[in-house]
Amino acid sequence: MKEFLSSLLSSLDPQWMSLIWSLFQIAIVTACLILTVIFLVFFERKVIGYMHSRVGPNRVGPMGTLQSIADTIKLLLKEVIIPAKADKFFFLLSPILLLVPALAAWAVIPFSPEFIIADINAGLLYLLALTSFGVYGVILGGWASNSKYAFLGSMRAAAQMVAYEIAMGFALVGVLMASGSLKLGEIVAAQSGGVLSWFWVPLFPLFIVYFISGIAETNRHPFDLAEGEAEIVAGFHVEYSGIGFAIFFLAEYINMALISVLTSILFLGGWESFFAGLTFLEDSILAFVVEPSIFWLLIKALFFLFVFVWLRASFPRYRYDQLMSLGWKVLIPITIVWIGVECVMYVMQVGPWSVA
Amino acid sequence: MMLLEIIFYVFASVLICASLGVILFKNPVYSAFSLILAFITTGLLWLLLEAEFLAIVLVLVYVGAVMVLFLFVIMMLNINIEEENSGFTKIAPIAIFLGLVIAAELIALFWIQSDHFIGEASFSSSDISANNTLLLGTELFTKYILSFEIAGFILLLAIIVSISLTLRSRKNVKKQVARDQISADPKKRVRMVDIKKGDM
Repeated sequence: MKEFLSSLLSSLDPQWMSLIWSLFQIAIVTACLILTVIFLVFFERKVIGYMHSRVGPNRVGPMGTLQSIADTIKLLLKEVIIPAKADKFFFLLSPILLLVPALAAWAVIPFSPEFIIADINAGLLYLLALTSFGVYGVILGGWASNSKYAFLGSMRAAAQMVAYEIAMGFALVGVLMASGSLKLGEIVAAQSGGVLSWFWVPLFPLFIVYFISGIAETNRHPFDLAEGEAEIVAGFHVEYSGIGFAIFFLAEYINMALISVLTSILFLGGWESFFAGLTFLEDSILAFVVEPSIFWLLIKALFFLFVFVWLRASFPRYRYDQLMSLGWKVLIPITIVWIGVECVMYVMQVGPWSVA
Repeated sequence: MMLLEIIFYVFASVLICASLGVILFKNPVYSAFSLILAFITTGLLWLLLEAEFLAIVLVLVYVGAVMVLFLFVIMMLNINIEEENSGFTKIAPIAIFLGLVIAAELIALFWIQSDHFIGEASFSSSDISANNTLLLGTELFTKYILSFEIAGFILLLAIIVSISLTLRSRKNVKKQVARDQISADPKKRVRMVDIKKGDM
């Protein structure tokens, strides 16, 4: 594909050619993400349905599979209502402010050893910066709606996201120390050599903390105080209808997928195979299962997406002070202690990493 | 180089417009948002210079943390827009004076140091192929370790001081104490009594 395109574009300036090639890659990843979200909505409703002993959506299409497409069309066709005293500019801008960083973060994700849109040196920092962007969409959406419930929701979301970002950042520091690189491709490469050399073994507490703060960052159950429908109707997006609501929803699910993929990349070896390192498989006909490929990443990410849904079906919502004390008094101390432990392991040369 | 120049001029003009927006908008939320835009475009200009670490850290620290708290405060205060705006003419002479001083200083600096600044203008200084996160880290933790540690210590002090200034614990507030709840002993709370038929 790339060869064909490059022969087609070889008459152009190489800079313009790389620009067009990047745009093409971006379009593909974005389209795949939107399809993933459509699938995820259906997946979530079906899984939660079965967990609650219901059948879930089963009317539109075979087994209800076209339900989320029908929902999407409905949301796109609905009227966009702007509240009377709302700040019109920010009201319309804030869904986009949430969606753009959610999509832009995928630029540095290494899907397979070959496919990564931009392999930048400071990839991990870039991800941290972009995930911290998303809070603006939530804050401004709540403020611009000129509604008390929406405003309360956005205040909760802001405090929560700032608090959990710290734990998340410390967990990433642990990964950075173990791999010795900020490049996501090199982080995956540092975990090569089988299930036990993935970072979840030496960094187990950080792995758990990262996933928990990831759930809190995406405002998902059991940390969805920002929405809290029993207390503040629907939180920050209570005034949004039609496509505005659809974009908030899209961004939330893309962020969920992002956290799942990132957890797989940082702690579970990304594209590495589950069976890598089993030498007896390499010579047999099953040699293809030890090859690194994008399917391993997708399987791991799908597992974490299932965990997201599972948690939503199983746990009641946290109370706000419990949420804050979990973030500040439990998760952050755990990460700090484990970074200290990691330093000792690093100096004593215990563990999979070597002193550079 | 054509593409880079176009990108540079687009970002530079956005940066100037955003900086003007910070002081010209009447609504403080709009001003704060212009400041965020200015930080982001500054970060992007640094990216053009291949200083990716500084660019991303600028965005991470200022946009990701500082401005969130700033916006938080602005929204909570619910400032009356007209009232705020009336002070503009009073402040204007002082502001113009300060602006002129800064401009004069900058001009003097460029005048004196013109040999260093006026040279071949280029956006990419890519004779260093190593990543600049590593280079910055190595410099900070070897050559400048003392100043780095002192800066860290001052920041820690600032955190402790601001917490101790604002921390006040109210009495008569009912709240959960997780430790007491966990250590509660059911044997002390519940007394089992055998009731025989004749006792009723």
